[in-house]
Amino acid sequence: MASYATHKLLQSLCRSPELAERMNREPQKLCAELGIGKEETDALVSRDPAALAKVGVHPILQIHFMIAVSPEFREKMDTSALQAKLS
Amino acid sequence: MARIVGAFATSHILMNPAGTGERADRVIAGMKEVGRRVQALKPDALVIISGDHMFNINMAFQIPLCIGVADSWTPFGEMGLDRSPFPGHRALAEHIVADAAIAGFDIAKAEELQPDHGIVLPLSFADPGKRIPVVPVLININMTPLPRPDRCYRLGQVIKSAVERFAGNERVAVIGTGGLSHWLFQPRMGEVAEAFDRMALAEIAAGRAEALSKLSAGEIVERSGNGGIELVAWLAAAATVPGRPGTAVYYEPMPEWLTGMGGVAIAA
Repeated sequence: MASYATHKLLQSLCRSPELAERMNREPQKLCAELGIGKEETDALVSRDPAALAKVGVHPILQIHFMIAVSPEFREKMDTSALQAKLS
Repeated sequence: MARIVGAFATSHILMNPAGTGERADRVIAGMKEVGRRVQALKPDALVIISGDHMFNINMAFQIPLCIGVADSWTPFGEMGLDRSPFPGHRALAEHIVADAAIAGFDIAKAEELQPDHGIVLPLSFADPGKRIPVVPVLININMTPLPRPDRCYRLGQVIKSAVERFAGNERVAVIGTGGLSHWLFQPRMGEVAEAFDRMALAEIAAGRAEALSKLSAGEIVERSGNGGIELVAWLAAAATVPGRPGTAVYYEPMPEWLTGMGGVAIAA
């Protein structure tokens, strides 16, 4: 299991555009400020699912992370193309 | 007195349809058919049972069970979902919490939930006009220990009993949402356990949800993934119409969406 510092950061991204922006722009500095250790920082900087899994990032919070840092992931997860057809 | 008029279970996600061909269209048609059957029962209240995807209940407070008691709800709005508000049913929600406490379930109450896709996507086809008040019931599948399937079935029995003791004339439809099989950020991510999904769908449609609830949480995760444990919401919903046979409305393996998608309708 990754540290709570890492998980607290990831679960905050969905409610803080500022944090999400810093996660994209300066992840190492942000992690250092939050006391996140090197191994978890490296995993976050790499954005590699295997590395994130290896340090024990919660799978749902990996989704939050990918939504914050990956436009491609956001596009894949976007429901709006089909949502209008439901009602 | 209030009564359960039907129970439903359905997957609760859509993704970008690219590459899915006609299967995405069949999922949409299936969801709309579930919605049509909900609407045909003319419910006055909806109890929607789901997990929360850590948009509300995260590691800060790891609450096993939660019922939203507010008068209205504004969706979180992730994944491009509509954020327009919809009504809550405070009196019924408070009554279920109180009745459940007597029955041995201590359930957290929430005023400030921002329902995520687990509630909002099914609502978009169950009640497109967003007029029917909703009681959101959240089962936390993201913490350890995982919720026990038989305990979730028992929760559904308690919800049924509570509704039947509610001093109103509401016609209540219950919708359990989530699943079916999916592995999220696990080595098997992208696999769909179609045989398990079809078995679960068939068992619930045959009125055998209680027997299905004897599977352990670990066995469900092993066979259908860490996301597959959302099946517990289906079991809770089915428990509100115990033993009643229903109809498997739709099923599609959707590896592009990393999951098997299905739905079942059970009239009381």
